[in-house]
Amino acid sequence: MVFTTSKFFKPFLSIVVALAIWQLLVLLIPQSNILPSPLGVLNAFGITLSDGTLFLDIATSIKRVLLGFILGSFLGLLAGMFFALHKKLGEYVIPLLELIRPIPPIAWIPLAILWFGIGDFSALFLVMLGAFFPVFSNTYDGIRNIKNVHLHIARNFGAEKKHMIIHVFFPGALPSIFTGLRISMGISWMIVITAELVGASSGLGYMIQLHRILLQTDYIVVGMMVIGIIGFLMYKMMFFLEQRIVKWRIQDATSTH
Amino acid sequence: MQQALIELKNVEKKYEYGKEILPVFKGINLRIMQGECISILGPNGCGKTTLLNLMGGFAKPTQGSLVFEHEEILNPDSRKILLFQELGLFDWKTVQQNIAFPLIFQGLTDQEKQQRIEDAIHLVNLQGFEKLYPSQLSGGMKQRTAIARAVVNNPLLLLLDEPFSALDQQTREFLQEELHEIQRQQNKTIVLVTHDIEEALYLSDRIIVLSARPSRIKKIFPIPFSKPRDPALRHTPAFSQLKKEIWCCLREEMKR
Repeated sequence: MVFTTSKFFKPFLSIVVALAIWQLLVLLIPQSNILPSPLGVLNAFGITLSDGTLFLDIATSIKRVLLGFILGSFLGLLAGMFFALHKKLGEYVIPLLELIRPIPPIAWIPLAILWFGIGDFSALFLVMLGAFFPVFSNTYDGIRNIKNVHLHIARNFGAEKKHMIIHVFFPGALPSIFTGLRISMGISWMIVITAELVGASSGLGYMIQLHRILLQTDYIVVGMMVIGIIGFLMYKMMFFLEQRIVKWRIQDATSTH
Repeated sequence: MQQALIELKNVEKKYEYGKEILPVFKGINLRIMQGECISILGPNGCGKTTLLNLMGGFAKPTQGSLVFEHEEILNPDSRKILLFQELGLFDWKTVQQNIAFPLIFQGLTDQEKQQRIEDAIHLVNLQGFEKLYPSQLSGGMKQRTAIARAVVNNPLLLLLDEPFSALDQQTREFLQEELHEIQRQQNKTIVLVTHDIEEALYLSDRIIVLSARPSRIKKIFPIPFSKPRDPALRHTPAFSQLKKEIWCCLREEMKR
């Protein structure tokens, strides 16, 4: 991979300009605790980094999001495949799921806290709920949209149901499944932070909420930035995974034919 | 008398759309011998593709029966392979994996599988393209991959639905020649549905012309040219004469 100067230079320039505007605003606003200065944030970052609390919060949030995302999207994948392959049963269950789906996962927070208390289990439940639906519906659609000709051909060569699943249904639906996974990943991260704001006593969401009470805006900004960076890295990882697995799609774009 | 590989006995097909009944064809009688190449020509909508689907076991006749290897055709199976017009290559499999697909369901050793795949790739001149995905292939290469996949398991009967219609003239001729070679070398039985009279003439032992709907077999042309056939056969007077006769026969039906 070759990085040209401009590829790095342009984002770098915009970050420098944003920092300058930020600093300017800090100088214009007299109340120092409403908007922290870049240096103040850097300082707070250094402190939370050296005392280990930042890592603890990061680890807690990532643990919750990964576990919830993996469980939720795995269930979504299984359910999506199952109901796409058993259409008759799907006719009973899918309308019900479509009714539950429009309820934003964060609207489940009060119930989640009542059921599971403050902490890991509430967050896990909410993330699973959020991760489930995008993967479920994209898996379902992906399988239902497999071309008839592919099914005819597999049948012609003597494929049985299990071969169909391994060689046709699953790989054929993979691009669509990844679309669902990408959406789920984003939603999961959003939900875990939200859940921690109100229903936890650890994690990055809890951290920024705590520093609001303490009026330490510089720490709030540290937390926000870390949340942004981790969200960005998770998206990149998902993209990397997709490129590795859905090879035929990626090469589609670079193909000259 | 030679045994027919596939026999159509008084085959009739009607489609029902609610209350409306659309007769496609009826009274089709045909015996196709082992090693024969048959082309089916006919006006649009005369049921050429339907006929192929019946032979492949993908549809059932309204009346009459189709017999393949002494058994009535009820379902698709791997002894008779239908090459669909859309090809249906698996986008998620490379050329090699696509060609390997039919072998998954056969009890072969890895070595045997590898050998068959290699042979099939050679047969259609796809060497060097094994690792590419269908989206990276030209139309002709896709077609070659589909043919290799269709023959890798050495089926008794190959049913081709307008296999080369989407290709340019040159590629089409090359592929016709390759198909001719495959048919000759493996003594394969082929039923080919096409719009292209030249293609039918170059490849076939007999050409069946269907009438307009509701169709019947209008005429069967035996093709006298000996095999192997030289590509330049297309430019001989005898070829042109026969082409004209078939064209006239077909033309009458298209006007109806």
